[in-house]
Amino acid sequence: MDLYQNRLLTEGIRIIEKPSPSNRFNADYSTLNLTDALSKRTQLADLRYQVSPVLLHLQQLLKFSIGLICVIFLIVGASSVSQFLVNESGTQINFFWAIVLFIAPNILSLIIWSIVYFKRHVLSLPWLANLLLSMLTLVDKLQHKVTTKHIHYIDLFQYYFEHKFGAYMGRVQLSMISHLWWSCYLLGATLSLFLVLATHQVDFIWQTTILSEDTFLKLTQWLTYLPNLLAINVPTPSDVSHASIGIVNPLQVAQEIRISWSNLLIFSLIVYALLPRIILMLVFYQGIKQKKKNFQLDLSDAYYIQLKNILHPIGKASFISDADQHKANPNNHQGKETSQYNQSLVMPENAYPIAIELNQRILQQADKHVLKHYSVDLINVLDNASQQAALSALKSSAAEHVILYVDVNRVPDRGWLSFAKKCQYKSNVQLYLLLFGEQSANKAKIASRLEDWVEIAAKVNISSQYISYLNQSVTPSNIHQEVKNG
Amino acid sequence: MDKDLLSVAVVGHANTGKTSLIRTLLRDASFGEIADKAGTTRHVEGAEIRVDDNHNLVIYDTPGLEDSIHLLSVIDEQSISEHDDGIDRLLSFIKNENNYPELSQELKVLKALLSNDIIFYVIDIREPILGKYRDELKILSYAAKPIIPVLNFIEAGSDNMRNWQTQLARLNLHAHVSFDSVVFRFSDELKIYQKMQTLLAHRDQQLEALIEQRKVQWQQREKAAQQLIATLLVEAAACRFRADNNEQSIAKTSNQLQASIRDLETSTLNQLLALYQFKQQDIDQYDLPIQQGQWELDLFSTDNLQEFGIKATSNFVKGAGIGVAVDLVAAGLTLGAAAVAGGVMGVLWGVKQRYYDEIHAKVKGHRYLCADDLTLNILWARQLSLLIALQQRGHASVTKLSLAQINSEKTALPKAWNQWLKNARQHPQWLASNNSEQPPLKAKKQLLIKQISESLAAISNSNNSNTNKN
Repeated sequence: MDLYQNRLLTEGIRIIEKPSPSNRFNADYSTLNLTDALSKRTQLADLRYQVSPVLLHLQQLLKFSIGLICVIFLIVGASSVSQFLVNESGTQINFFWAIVLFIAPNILSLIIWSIVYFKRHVLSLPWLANLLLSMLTLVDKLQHKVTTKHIHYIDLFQYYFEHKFGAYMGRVQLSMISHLWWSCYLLGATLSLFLVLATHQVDFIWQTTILSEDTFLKLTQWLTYLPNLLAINVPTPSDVSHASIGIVNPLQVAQEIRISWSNLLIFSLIVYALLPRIILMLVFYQGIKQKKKNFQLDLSDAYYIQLKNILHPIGKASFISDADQHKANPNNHQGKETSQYNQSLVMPENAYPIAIELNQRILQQADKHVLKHYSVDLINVLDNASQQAALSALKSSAAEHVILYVDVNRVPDRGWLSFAKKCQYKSNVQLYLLLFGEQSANKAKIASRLEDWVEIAAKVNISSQYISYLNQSVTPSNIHQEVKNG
Repeated sequence: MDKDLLSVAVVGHANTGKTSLIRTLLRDASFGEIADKAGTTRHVEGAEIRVDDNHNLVIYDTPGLEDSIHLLSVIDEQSISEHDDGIDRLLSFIKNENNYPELSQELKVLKALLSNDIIFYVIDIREPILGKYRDELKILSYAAKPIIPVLNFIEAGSDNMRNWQTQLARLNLHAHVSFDSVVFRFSDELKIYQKMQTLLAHRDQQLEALIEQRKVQWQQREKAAQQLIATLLVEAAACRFRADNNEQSIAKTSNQLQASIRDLETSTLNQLLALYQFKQQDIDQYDLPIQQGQWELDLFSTDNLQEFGIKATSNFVKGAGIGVAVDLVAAGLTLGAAAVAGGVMGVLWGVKQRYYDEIHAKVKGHRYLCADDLTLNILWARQLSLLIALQQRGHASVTKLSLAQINSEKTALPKAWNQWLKNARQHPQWLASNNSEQPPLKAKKQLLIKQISESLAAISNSNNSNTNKN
C-alpha cells in the first residue's frame, strides 16, 4: 500500500472514529516516527474497521463510472459524425459547418473550463458535486450487489467523494475527467470520420449567405498553416474558391481535392481539438498524481492532535528506577481513629518546652504559654545549630517531660520525628505534643493535619492523651486553669 | 537505536509539589501519587518526555528530603582526605549506607543527584525559609550539578516570593524559575526549559528542539480547541426543529432542541478535555440554560435577499452549465436557447433548494425553533471560559472545574457575532442531525468556522498580552 492509500485509509478511520480516536490499538509506537506510527496504527485499526475494502470499492466505482461515461461519449462522438455530416441521400460535406460542429463547442467549453478553473467560486462546486454524487449513487446501486453494506458506508462514501471532488483535489480531478470525456467524444468523432471517409465518397463544399469568400479563404489559411509546415496535402486557396456550390472539377482533380479536404478535416479534428484535450488530460492526470503524492493529513485537526497524544504521548509511561524496599508503615492507614487528642491536657511539672519551626506569630503564643507554666526560655528549633542547642539545654535541665510546640499547619516529616526521638534522651522521658492553629484556618485541612500529627506522634510514643490542640478560641488561660486544678 | 537522554532529578523537601510539577510537565495526572502529607513518594520514579525521534528528556521524581539536618551532619562527618570534594563526601556516605537505615529515603535522593544531568529543586514558597532548606541546598551543592530552584505554588505564596528569591541569591542560585503546578502558565514551563538551556550549554540544540516542540504542541492544541468551539457555535446556531403551531408541539420540540444543543456542547466538552488530556471527572457537569428561540422565515430580509442574489447569479451559471452540456450532446444545434433555459431553471432550482423547507412550513402552518441569541451568547462565554480554565489547569490539580458561575454579560461579543449567527441559522444543513436536503455548502461552513476561530485566536492573544502585562 502506497503512502497515499495509507493516508486515505487513515482518513477513513478518522471518519469512523470521530470525534476522538480510540486507544484500543496498542503497539510500541514510541520507537517509530509519527508517520510510521500513524501507518502502523492505521493497519491495526483497519483490521477492526475494515475500511480498505470499502475504499477499494469506491475507487473501482469511480473508475467504473468515469469509464462508463467515456464509452457513452465515445459513442455520442461517433454517432454525431454520421448524424450531422453525412446522410444516406447526401454526398457533400459542408466543410466549415463540420469544423464549427466539432471545434467550436470544444473551444467554447475550453473557455468555460478556463474560467471555472482559474477563477474560483464562479461555478459553485456543491451543485456539480450533487450531480456527480447522484450519478455515482445510481451506478453504485446498480453495481453494488452486496446487501449488507459496511456500517459506515455512507460516511465513507461522502468522505471519499469530498476528497476526490472537494477543495483539495476537486479542480484537478474534474478537469482531468472533463478533458478525458471530451477526448473520448472527439476520438469517437475522429474514428467515425475516418470510417465515413473510408467508406463514402463525399465532396467538400462551403456555403454562406452573409459571409464573403475572403473569410473562408482566411480561415482556411489559418487551418492549413500547420499541415503545410508538415507537408500534408491540404486545399489551396484556389481549391477553396472552387469548393463553392456549382463548380464541377474534372474527375482526377476532384479526387485530389477530396483527399486534400479530408486531410484538412481530419488534421484539424486531431490537432486542433483532440490533441489539446489529450495533452490537457495528461497534464491533469499528472496533477492528480502530484496531488496524491502531496496529500497530507491535517494534523492540526483535533482528532489527530488527540491521536498524537496517544501515539506519542508527551510523557512516556513511568517506571520505577529505585524502589522503596521498606513496607509501608501500617500506622499510615490508621485514619480518623488516631486523630483523637486531649482537649483538657494537664501540663506536667518538671517539663522542658521546645518549639519546632514556629513562625513569629505562633512563637509569641507559645512563649506566652510557656511563661505561664514554666520558667525557661523557649528555643525555636530551625536548623542544626538551634537543634543542638535545644538538645543540650534539655539534657542540662534533666527534665522528665518534654513539651513539643508545633504549628498544626506544618507537615510533619521524618526530620521532626528524628528530632523528637533525640528529645527522648533518657528512657523515662515522656513527650507531649502541643499543636497551635488558627481558628480562621480551613477546618478540613486542619482536621487532616491533626491526623498526620497524631499519626507521627504515635511513632515516638506520644499517645493521644499527651497531645493537645490550641487555636485562638481556646486560650492558654484555660489550660493554665487546668494545670492548677490538676 | 538508543535515544540520547537528558536526565533531570526533581528533588526538594517533602510535600513541596515535586510529583505535581512532573505531572504538569508530562500532562499526565496518573503519574506518581500525590497527597497533602509527607512521604507520599517513596520510590524514585521516572518518565520520559519525548523531544523527537532521537532524543528524550527523562525526569525523575524522588522522595522528599525530610531530614536534611541529620543528613547534612552525617555527610559532613564522613572521613575524607582534604583533597576530596562534595561528591567524594556523598560517595562516602553512599558507601556506608547500611550504617544509616533511617536515611534510606535520602540516600535515594543522593543517588539521583549524582546520576542525573541537572537538578530541579522544588520549593513550596508558601513555606517560611528554614534552616533545613538551606541544609538541603548545601547537600545539593555537593553533587556539583546545575541546580534550578523551582518556586512552586506562586499563586498562593506570592507574598513570600521575594524572601525566597533573596535567600536563593545569597546561596548563589540566581537561575530560579516560578511555576505553579496547580494554576498553570505555559510561559512558566518554557522558562524552565530555557533555564536548562542556559545551564546546559552542551545540550543547547536538544533543549531548543524541546522548547520548539512544546510550543508547536501548545499552539496546535489551542488552534484545534478554537476550531472545536467555532464548530460548536456554528452547529448550535444551525440547529433547528420543526414544530406545529400549538403549545404542546412547541414545548416538546423545545425540549428536543435543548437536548440537541446540550449534546453538542457535551461532545465539544469531551473533545476539549481529551485534547488537553483531562478526564471527565475533572469538571463539574453543568447544564446550558437554553431558552426557547424561534427563527421566523423572513424571505425579504436584507441578508436573505443578498444571499438570494448571490445564489441566483451562481445558479444562473450552473444552469448555463447544464445548457452547454445539452448543446454538447446535440452538437451545438440548440446552443443559445438551451443555455438561457438552463439559466432560468438553475435560478428556480436554487430557490427551491434554499427555501423549500421554509415555504413548505409556512404553508403547512409549522414553525422552526432554534437557539436564541442569549443561549448562544452563554454557550460562547462558557466555552471561552472553559478553554482558559483548561489552559491554566495543571495536571496536579485536584479541585474540579466549575463553570456554573459564568456570566455571559461580562463577555464582550465579537463585532461579527450577529452576522455569524445569521449565517449559521440560514444553513440548517450544516448540522447533520437537521437532515436538511439543502446543498451542504461545506466550504462556506469551513469559512465561517475559520472566521470564528480567528476571532477566538485574537481574543486569546489579547488575554495573553494582558496576562503578560500583569
